[in-house]
Amino acid sequence: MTGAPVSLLDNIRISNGPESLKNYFTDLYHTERSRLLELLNDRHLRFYTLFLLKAGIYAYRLQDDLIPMYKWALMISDRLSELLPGKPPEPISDRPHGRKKTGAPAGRAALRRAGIRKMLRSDTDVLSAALKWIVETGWDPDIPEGSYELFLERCTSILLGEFRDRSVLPVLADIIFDRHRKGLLVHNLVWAFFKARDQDSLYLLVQKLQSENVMDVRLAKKLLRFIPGIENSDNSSGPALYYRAVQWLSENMPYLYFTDESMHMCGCPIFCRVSAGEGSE
Amino acid sequence: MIRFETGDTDLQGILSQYQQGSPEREFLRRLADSSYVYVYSSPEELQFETRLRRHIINASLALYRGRMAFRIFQESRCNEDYWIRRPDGGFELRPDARPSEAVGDIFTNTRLYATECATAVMMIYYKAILDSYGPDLFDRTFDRIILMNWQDMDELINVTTHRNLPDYFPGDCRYVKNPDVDPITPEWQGENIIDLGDGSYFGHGIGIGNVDFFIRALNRNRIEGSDVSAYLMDSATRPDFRGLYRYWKNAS
Repeated sequence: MTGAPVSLLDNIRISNGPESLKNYFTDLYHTERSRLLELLNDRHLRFYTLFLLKAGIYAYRLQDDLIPMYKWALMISDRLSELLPGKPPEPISDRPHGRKKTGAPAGRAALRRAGIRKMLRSDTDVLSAALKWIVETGWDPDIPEGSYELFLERCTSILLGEFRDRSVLPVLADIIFDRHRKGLLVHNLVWAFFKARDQDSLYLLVQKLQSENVMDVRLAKKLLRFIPGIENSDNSSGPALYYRAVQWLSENMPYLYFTDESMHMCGCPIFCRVSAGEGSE
Repeated sequence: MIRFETGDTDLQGILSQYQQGSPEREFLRRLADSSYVYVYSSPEELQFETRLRRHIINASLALYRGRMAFRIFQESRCNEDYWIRRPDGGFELRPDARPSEAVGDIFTNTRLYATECATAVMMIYYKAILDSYGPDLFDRTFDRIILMNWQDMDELINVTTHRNLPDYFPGDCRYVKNPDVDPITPEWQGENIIDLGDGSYFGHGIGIGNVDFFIRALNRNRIEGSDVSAYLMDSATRPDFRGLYRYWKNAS
């Protein structure tokens, strides 16, 4: 969270917790419905707050009164949730190899995926804006691990992979480093970051070499280990490392390519390489 | 070809210890037939690596037969009598648990565990080392175990990914990459597979089959309209066989 304006509903959630938020929502619905709609449509509202109120919004049939972006955001969460864990697993005997990468059996999962794909083609402008809003405001310090976290990862993946929206990369870089500081899972987000194949975004990682937080520097060194001398540079100060990395990137950018390696593949992935015969040390 | 620093030349004596068609024999054949020179300190070191590779294959098959479920990190699970599930979805050995029993439990109470493919490979490595070292040495060596993807692994195991190798061997961990994975299902971005030495591979969550079997499984989860196939990457991930041998020899 930054110094951005905070909506009243977000403020209640952050200050008093999700249960207080839900109670406030219910009370306001019964006493001042129009005020509730005004608060729900606040342009500074964060997705996590809307997500927490989803059941109430549906119960009181308020979804059609939401601005299109918020309405679509809820719809996306509904559709993607069908592919997420939490559905009853199919019996093991029906899975000769034990595969259950999603919450649904292969046949039904394929149908659901086709449904999601159809949705992705429907109203792309509002949809991509909704996805971007989810990614930019859905990650909060107090989100629960599990299916909500997974949902956010998928939205990030779709926004970058399907809509090629690179503008979210600075936010994504901050989310990755913030989660890493807390010891939370970052593998899938790192994968999505590099999958975007955006050379300019590498400078976002380079900036973290100057961070005062030792965890940030450690992760930045890992992600940038393709830059010679960066990973094992214990004695270099932040600014010196930063300038070395910036200089190397500017010299080698034309020859740099993304390797497809990931933290799933190995412990020391090399995310980029310089084309053979090109580049500098 | 194989060269021993001790000057030994009797490879036939080592080969004769293993059955025709066994993974051990296949490993030694590939080493001997290679144009690359593989240097071992002694026949004992070669035999240690051969045995450890066999144990990697055995542990892979045990995990397959035990039907450990595939789960992404967010919904991984473990037997909490032995392991603590961390916020990132990894498992950490309980301070009061005996390491050999905890690792053994994964392979006896397999259905209590669920994780993704890279962590499964770490489980396989620990079991293979347990079978090579024996419980006493294993317990003395690994008093802190973290099972989380390839991260936080023990320095002694020192798992390393080698790229553009001249040869690949039974017990190697390979990676099938799905570059055009559907962004809706990013968990199908790739699969770690263990070479079983007979042309087949084990990949946790998909099963056992040849490379095409895994490529087909991943290709079914590509982005719509893609004609870019999944492929076997030109790399292999291996534990530090030499380091593990030296530690074992010094401790024995």
